[in-house]
Amino acid sequence: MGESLTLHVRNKGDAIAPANEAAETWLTMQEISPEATFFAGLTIEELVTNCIKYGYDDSGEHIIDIELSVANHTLTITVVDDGRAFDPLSVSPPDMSGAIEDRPIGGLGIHMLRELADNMAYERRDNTNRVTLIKRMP
Amino acid sequence: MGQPSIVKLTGRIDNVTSAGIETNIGLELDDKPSALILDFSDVTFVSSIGLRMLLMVAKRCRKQNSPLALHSVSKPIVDLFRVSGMTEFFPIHPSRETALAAIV
Repeated sequence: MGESLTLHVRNKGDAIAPANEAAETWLTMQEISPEATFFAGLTIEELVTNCIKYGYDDSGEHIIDIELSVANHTLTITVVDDGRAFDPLSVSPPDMSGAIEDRPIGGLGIHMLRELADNMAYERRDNTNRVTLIKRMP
Repeated sequence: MGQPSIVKLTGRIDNVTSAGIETNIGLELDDKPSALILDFSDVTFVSSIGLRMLLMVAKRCRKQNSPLALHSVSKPIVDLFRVSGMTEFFPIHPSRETALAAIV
């Protein structure tokens, strides 16, 4: 039987740290791998930060729902927000061929999640963005 | 031009902490050390903003001919450097001793 945790995170910079702490506390109890714990923290940090920066047309409060679940040696993270339509899978990877002087500073967050996840999926449904990431644990 | 500067980073290198960390490292680099060694043994988390800050540090080190080396980096963070294509800019060593030996 799997376990799950749902967090409701406000679209404010100071909401990220408490969300990370809550996730980390719960994940520690699930006995998951260090890589999966790190990945969960990275997902929360990157996707919530993106929502805050780019997601909304108004200055009002929005809630980002984050569901974490562990079952069959797999961590599944689903992030749902009601912001502008945005498909993270449509973002091109940053150019990583250049010398250090030429490396772009931006565009890394989503690329890292995509590379570290075993699977990443996006769905636009009922005016919400739903991103699901899967991290398998050996 | 003096001794290598060794900076021990702790906890999270993220949206909240990166600017302050960059300032502190900047002060060390102002003294023109012979090399910069970053001790990652107590670093628990790095975000994309943290990575960007570290890239700025690496660029500055290169500009002032001060070799950069990291040591005692946890596996998830090593993986992060790898998928970001930045391993070549951040030489990673298992210990402070090997890092110091490498930058001589």
